[in-house]
Amino acid sequence: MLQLEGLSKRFGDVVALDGCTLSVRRGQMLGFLGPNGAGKTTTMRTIFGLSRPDAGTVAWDGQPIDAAARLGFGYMPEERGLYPRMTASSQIVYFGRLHGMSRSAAAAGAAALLEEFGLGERADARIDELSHGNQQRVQLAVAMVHRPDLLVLDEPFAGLDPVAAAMLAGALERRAAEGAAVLFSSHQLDVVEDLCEDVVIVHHGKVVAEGSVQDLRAASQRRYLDVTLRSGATDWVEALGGVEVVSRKGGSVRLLLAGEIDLVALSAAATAAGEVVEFALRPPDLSEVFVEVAGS
Amino acid sequence: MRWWQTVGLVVQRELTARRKAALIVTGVLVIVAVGLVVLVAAVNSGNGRPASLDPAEADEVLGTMGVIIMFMAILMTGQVLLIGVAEEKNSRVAEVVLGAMRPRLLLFGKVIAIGLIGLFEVLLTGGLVLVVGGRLDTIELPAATGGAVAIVVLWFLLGFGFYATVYAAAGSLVARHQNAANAAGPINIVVMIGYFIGVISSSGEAAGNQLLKVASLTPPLAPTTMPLRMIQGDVQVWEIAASITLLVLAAYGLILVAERVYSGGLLSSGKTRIREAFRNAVR
Repeated sequence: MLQLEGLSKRFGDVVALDGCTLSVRRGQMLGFLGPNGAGKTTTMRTIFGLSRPDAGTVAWDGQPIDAAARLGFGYMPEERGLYPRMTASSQIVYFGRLHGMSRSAAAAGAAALLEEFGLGERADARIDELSHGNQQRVQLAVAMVHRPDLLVLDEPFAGLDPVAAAMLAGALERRAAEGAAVLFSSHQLDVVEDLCEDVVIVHHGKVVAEGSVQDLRAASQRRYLDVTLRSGATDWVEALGGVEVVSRKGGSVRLLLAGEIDLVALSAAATAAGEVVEFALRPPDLSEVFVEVAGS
Repeated sequence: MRWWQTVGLVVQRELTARRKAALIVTGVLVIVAVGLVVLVAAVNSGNGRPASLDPAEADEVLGTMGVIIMFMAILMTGQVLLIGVAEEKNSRVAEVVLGAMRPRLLLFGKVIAIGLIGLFEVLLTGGLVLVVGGRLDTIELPAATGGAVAIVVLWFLLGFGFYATVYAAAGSLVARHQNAANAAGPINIVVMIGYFIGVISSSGEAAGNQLLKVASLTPPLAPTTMPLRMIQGDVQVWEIAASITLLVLAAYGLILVAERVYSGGLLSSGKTRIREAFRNAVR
């Protein structure tokens, strides 16, 4: 289990981390969310000793993390980095061996990952000859080749097309199912919502919300009401008081309910305007929770 | 995973990555040095007896050659290191590599690899000059040539040890590796000062040359001045011992500083000030 306890870090006047505490269990896939500059990258770099915290501890299975422990970790930094003139395969083998694999085990691991990521035929292509998306796959393979116990990925979904994103999501799910602890940051909250049971939201270097996606959504005080009329008309909401119209799209209206709202009266108003095909009270989705806790 | 296994992997990767460039440089060096010997021999072929130098001339020629080779070897290997480090920083691959090893191991692996390439080049060039010169009938190499080659090899190792980590640290500060040459400027100037003192002194009377004496005991200047004094034979054993001791001590201190700058520079993005690199240094 990865445990970060009270991490703090300042860069001059800028507070990057302010007592950040979180943990990731083996087999858990934790989504790490937060606005730009919230401290996600600094947290991840701290795990790998690339940034020294001013205060706080980083532990794996209860022991402080040292160079030996890091050999069992895999890291995909936000700014991707590979040796541009090495081939995809030799690059993955090199990093596998740096993490303590034998030459043959690293070669087998590299071949299997290239196959898994659909790069089998590009194994001997130099990195600078690969497309951006394929470089990203090699970067991921570099992070995974040694079957790490902890996988830390900074914005792994950034810049991926939906097919590649689905492939990555599948790969991460398999690693977690095999027992790896997976921590990844993302701005694509729909992806996080599909992929993770648990999320942590940081803001200004502090954890402002954590727990399962379901619990976070349910815990929000806000409720949204989605109403759709068969006619597609939306102008009926203009006569209502005490509600905020969040959006009107394709004949469907989303209302934010505030305080004590009389749902019966709302339902009557909608029915009076036409045949109702949807009338659903919903908790906020993850991106709305995110805006709620990290929006200000 | 022992530290030397990690360093071994880095050395292996560096040697593989630089083999083409190293072969080209080696080829050029060999062609120039051996070509010179062959040329002298060919020009002299009409003459009845082999071309040779009297001992005083030999000291001067060998001394000058030694200074020039030292100068070129330090500058070239330093440049290769600097650019290699700058590339690693700016392709951001350093971030991934340093997630798996301590910066010191990466630095030492690179330095050892480039040092081996430089040593190979100096040895091969010196060795081929000796072999070719010995085989040609129309040229007679000065008797001191073998000793001079040995002195140059020894001082290449010392000088490289002194300057290598400094060049690497400079490489870790630059924003784009195309600008790497600028970062080397201040270091190159120091190397050049030693070179000029060496070259100026090589043709004159070495005995009584106080500037040369002082320079040969000053760590940054010794690699291009002490070999000259040794080749010319005008030096006390204690002076050699003192020069080497001072150089090793200074190199040790410098490596400790350079290592910190290197790790901090490598992990900061863009152009980095030394102070900032020092602050961001890890482990």
